[in-house]
Amino acid sequence: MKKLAKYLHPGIISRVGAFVINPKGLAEGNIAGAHKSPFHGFSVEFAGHREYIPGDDTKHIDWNVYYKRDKYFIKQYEAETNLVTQIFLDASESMRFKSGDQSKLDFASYLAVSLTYLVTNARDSMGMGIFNDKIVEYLPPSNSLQTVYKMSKVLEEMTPVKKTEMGNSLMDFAQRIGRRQIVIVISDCLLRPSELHDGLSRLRYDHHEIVLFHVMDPQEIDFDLEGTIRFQGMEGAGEVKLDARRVRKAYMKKFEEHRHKILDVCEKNNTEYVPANTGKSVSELLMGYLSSRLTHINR
Amino acid sequence: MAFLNTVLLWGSALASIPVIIHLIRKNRVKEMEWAAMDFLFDVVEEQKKRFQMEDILLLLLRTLLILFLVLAMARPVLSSAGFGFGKRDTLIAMDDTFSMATRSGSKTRFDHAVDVASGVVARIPGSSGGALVLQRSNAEKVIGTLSADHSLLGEAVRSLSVSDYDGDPAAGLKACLDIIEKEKTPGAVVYLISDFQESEWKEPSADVQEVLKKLREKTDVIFVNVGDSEESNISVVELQPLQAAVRVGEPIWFSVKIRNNGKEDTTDVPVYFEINGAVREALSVSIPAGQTTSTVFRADVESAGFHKATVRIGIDNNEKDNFAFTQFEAFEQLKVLVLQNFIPETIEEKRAVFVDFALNPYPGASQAENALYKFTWNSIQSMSVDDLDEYAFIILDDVRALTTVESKFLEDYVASGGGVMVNMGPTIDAENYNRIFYKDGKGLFAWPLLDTAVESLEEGKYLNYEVNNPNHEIWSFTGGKEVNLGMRLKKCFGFVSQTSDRALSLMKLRSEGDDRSFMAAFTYGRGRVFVNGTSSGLEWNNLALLPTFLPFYRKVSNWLMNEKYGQKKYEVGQSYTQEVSEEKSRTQFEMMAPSGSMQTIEATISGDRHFLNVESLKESGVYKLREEGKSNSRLISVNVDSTESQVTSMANDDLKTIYEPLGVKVTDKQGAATMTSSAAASEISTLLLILAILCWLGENFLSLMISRRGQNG
Repeated sequence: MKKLAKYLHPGIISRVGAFVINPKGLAEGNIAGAHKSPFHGFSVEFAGHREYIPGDDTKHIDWNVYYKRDKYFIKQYEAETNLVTQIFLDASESMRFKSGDQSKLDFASYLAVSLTYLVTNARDSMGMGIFNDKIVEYLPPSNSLQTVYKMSKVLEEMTPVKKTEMGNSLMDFAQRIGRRQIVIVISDCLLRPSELHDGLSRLRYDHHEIVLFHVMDPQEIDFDLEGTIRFQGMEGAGEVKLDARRVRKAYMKKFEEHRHKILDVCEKNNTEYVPANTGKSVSELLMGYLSSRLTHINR
Repeated sequence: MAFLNTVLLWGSALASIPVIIHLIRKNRVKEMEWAAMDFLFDVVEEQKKRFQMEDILLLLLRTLLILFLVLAMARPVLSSAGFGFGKRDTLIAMDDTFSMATRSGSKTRFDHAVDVASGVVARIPGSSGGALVLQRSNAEKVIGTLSADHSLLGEAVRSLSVSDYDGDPAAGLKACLDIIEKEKTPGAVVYLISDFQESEWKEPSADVQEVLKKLREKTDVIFVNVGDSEESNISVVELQPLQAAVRVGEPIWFSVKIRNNGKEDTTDVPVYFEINGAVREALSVSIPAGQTTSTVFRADVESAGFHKATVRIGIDNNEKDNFAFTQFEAFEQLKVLVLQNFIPETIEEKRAVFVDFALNPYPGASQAENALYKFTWNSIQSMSVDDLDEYAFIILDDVRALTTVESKFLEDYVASGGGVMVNMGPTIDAENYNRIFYKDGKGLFAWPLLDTAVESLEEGKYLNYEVNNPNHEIWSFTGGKEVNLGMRLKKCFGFVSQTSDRALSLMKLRSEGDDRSFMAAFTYGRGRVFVNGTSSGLEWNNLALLPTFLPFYRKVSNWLMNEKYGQKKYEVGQSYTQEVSEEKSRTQFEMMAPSGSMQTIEATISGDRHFLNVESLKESGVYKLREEGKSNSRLISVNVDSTESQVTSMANDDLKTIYEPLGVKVTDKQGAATMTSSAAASEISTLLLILAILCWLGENFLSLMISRRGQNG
């Protein structure tokens, strides 16, 4: 039987399906919804008055105030809107790397589709941008459950190629989406930290809430290899032959330094950093992340 | 620099193994795609030189480790002229016993020994001393102090030849120990070069073990086995005349024993018998493996005086023991004085007539024309001191008692080399004999006589007796081991045996609780006394009727005359001593060795007696001793020790099994070259081994460092 959505795994959904992703701040949605909007609108809950300026709809003038103050005042209400979440997924060639059964891209795909399910299940919208050296695919936000299947389909057909150019791609992505959304970046972050910084700064400028899932293969972390190996670089990085055992410690140090730099960039840009080890299950990662997020918001 | 195990140098090719492994591993590379390449590039960039250094260092250490090990096993040697270090004094104990003359191929064992010893000398480090000892029963220090003159030492080695000596495993080693202790040289090395005969070395005596232990405390000891697989050797074991003396023109018989020391039977061995260098008789014998065959040769001589008899066999692997020599003296007639209580008139009264017939087996006995021994019967009372010296020996036959004067005559006669045979009988006064002859052990008898004769009281029963000291030459006609004369003994006088170095029991009574000799041999001065406690007649025994009577009394007479007529047998290495009268003590004597070399001998004084002494008779053959100004010579025959004829050498493995636990290194003549310079070699090998260990430690340390770097954290 053909699966409707490869990356929508029942095991994951059954464990994290009850969670809801709420924004930590205000959200600017495109329709009325369950989330607080930064805008004062004309909805249900009264928020206050402001002076009438030409162009305002006259039907919102509070005539009682006019009688008392002899000035036109407009009645304002707390606006409520829906949550728009965007996934920005790295599909560069390095995401093809795998030491176990699943590549980093597979892991990222499971993660993205599962998050999409959670969001759309709460009647919020989820959009997705896939990039390598540029944005190669963009799915506009939708609160339809069809989005889940559509997204899975896109990811299934995605072939990871080319280098990671996250800076430019994020600039481009920021222009395509609105403001005050949740932007979930899923990448192996094999790029210059400054490039990541540029991209995240741009997103931060638009008051997005940013979450970075740093996808790492366990072999990339532990470098648990033996013997002389000719490493052929992905993304056209050339090749190098060396005794894996001898460089392990130095490599791990380098890798850890890089991770700390990524973490620094995230901290500077108010970005939530979530390490994602592909050696562990997606459900475990999501359970941990969503639980901590819930705790953080309620506090 | 030379190598002692040059074959092992091929092992140096093993040093290429690390390089080969490195190359193989270099080509055996796994390939894999990798995403985080930047980090690897950074690491390689930073540590490239370090990795290269480590690789080169590891490769170098592994290569050197193998190289040092191989070189250490190949045992490099610095030539003695090359470097100053490696000083080590060297003692060479060279076996020159006649078994070393055994030939295998074109060379004898001794030739190989000389080659080995020359090699050892050539490799003695420059400033080290060397000494040379001859390893044999009479060990000799050829160069008894450590000499740095190696050319002298080499010359001494090359001038050596095989001697006629037999071996003594401990003797040469003791001589080496003497030198080591005297010179107080630390860390010397002793090379014992020998054929290591099984008969001498298979079971090391306590003496050998003790000497080796002492030597090992001070030196290294190396046994160089120049022996071979040759086991066959036929030797002439014995040549002896069956008479003490020979009458001119009368036949004389010689007993010859030839032994096959090998492990295979041999046939048609030619045997030649010579008198004074002329072949008198030749025959062929066949001898089973490990057996001895006996034969008899007959000859006569035409002139009085000393004569030389020689037996030789055909050429075999070892010619040194292919000869045996003896000398004998021919007389017109020898005189024997028989003393009784009275002058016998009839043949029945002549109690010693059986002895006369035994020595003169002709009709009429000593009255016969061709009789060698002229028997003269007299009474004890008629004995005169003046004419005693003309008798070959004297028989006292059932003489009842003697006076002090009579006994003094006899004592003087015996002390100057005469022989007295005392036959007891029914009239003997034991008390007189003890007073006259025993004299508390100072008289002719070394033991006291029992007061009364022992007698078998039951009719038809005889006294039990047994032969003592069956290896005594008197019993040699019996073949030794178990002597059974078949004699029925009724009555006898007996001696109470006491500790004395001049008495020997020949027959003893075997009765309950009693151990009494009734036949004994005593020495007194230069002469000998034989006492037969039972009668020479038929009153107390039936010996005179037995076939053994004749050879028995011939042996007894031989023994009594040995000193006087010079039939004493000598072996190579024994000393020669002859007492001379005071007036001859100022005369010079010349001794000519069988090889023809002359030696002048002067008398030495011991107490109030004068002796001619030759410390060691070094050659086998017949020596001639001549008084200055005289033309006739006394002959002294010297034979090799037949035990040395067992030429079978020990296998090197057996030698190692026995002697390596005693701390001795064992090698063969091929390996000798390997061992010879082990002084310097061992030091260089040790150094190389230390270097190899350092390389191994360095390699391990470096590998550990690399490994730890590869570990997490």
